[in-house]
Amino acid sequence: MSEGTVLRSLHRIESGILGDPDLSELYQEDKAAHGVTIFIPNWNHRPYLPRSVGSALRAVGHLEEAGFSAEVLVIDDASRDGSQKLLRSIQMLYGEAHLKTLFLKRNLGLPRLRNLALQVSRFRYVCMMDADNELVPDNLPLFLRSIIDTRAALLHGNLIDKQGEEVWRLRSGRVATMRLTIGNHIDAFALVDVWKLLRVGGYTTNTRLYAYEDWEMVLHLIAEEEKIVYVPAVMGYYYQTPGSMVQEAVQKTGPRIDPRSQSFHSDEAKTLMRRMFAQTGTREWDPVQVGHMYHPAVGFIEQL
Amino acid sequence: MSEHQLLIVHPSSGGIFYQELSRRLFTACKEELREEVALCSSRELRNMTTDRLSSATLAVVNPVECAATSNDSSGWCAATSSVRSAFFSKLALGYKRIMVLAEAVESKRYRQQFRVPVNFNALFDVGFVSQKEKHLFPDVSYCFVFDGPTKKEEQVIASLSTSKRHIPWALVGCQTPEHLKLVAALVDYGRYPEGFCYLQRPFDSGLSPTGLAAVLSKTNYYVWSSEDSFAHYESFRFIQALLAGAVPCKIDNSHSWDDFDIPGIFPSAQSFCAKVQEEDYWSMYSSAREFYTSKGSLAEHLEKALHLV
Repeated sequence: MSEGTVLRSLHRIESGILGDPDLSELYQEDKAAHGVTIFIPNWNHRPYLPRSVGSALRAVGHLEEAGFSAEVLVIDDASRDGSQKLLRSIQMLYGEAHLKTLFLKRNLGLPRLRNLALQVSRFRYVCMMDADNELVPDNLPLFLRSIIDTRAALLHGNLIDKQGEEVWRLRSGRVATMRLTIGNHIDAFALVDVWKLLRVGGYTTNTRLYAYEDWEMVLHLIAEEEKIVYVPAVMGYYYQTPGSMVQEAVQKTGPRIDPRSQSFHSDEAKTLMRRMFAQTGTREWDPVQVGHMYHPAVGFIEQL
Repeated sequence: MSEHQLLIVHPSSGGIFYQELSRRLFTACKEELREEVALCSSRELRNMTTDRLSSATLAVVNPVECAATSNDSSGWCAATSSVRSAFFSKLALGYKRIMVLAEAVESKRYRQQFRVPVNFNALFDVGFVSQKEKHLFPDVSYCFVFDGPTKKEEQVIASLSTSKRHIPWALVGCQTPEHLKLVAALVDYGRYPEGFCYLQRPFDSGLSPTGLAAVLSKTNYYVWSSEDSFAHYESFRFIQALLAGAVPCKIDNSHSWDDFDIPGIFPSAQSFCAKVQEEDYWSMYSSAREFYTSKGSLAEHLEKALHLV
């Protein structure tokens, strides 16, 4: 039985989409190791696409200057706001050498979209973005070098969290500890090793964890003893915008900000995560550091 | 008072900052001043004999933190009130008592030191700028101690030469609104987005001293903003930068520093970036080094202050 069949049997990879003849031919089994696919999922985020796609395309230029290969992959999840038309215009402008666009006929939801991106990426490393995020283009080579050096499964950097012009906080700016079982502080906007994520089954599509699949992935990787690495440099910008997935989830389940993890979570998601990954409920484990801090100019950095 | 041993008392655990200051004071005294100097933790002081204490001048680095960490356990639990009382009772037995601080006079951390149940003969305020005019506790005489280099530090600083550094700037501290604005401004400015930025929140582990030194040894500019609203210069950051070959750069748009000759203070991130464009790293580093080594050593300043007690 092939690895793909095993994974599909775990209901992680969306077999229906992979079975679609148009998409299955895009599946890239051999992924080039010395490059990165910048993935932008889109669902009705047309106003934000020029910013996110523009920053990603500029990052491709910086990556090539640094000797890496790169592509931008935008998958539109059956938007109804005319995003497709805009994306086709961007595609016309930039050609197909660095920008690949895919348009789905029916809406799959973000976790399945992310799994699809893992499957169709040309490169071993994928920079996971949201359509309303913005990359700091100059810094992506630093993060790519770091994930190659450290062999991390997931590598995160600081995200400047903005509400309008105001800087609210830095997201993803701390090393992974077992406090992650209380709430997630590592945003989905991160660099991942496709091979390692596919090996653990990709993002969960369990509907009870909808909008928390990135949190589940981080804990799943930790449980599998994969390396989570934090690079203390700015990876990009996170904009608090109405209609973002987190905002919608927060509206549905009620916002709570946990003082220890500094993260939003719903009670149901938290209970599920604690049940899956912190079954003993032992509070002494919470500060245990499971991630690493790294900078390519310094190496692994010692903390107190 | 030279016939009495100088005992430098430091907090037994907790923040690295005051432990590091204690170690530097001890080194300075040992190198240049006197043989009869010793370093001890607040826990050790609590267990000391009356005879030894009565013949010693006690330089207590952050008395409040010393009392809070004087319990026997090395864990995170603060000392109980009875343990703290025992610590203060022992402290009262000293021949003379000096409080050593490096805080803004207006800060809560400074003011709370004067509520402890022990009288101090003097306060040594270690830093770059005297705060005598603002000191509000006349019962404890104020002595400013310039935070100069120890001999060993002077040698390290003198031995550094220009080298290729891969990190343009480093910002390490607490996640305050000022630091958030600063990091956004440095990244938005666009020329140097690849800086190192680690801003802690409560429950986060800080960088270890060796971790920070390793980062700064690859960094051109060590930048920071005040973590509160007071006009206070963080001399420890200046020293950390200089020892690792980085240029210390404080960004402060709330206060004027024109009357002081401390190099590397900028009113905004933009003015810092403009300066970096017009003057090279090594020239800025050399200015900072010259300022620091021209003011006299930590031992010289300590000696002057000790004569006043």
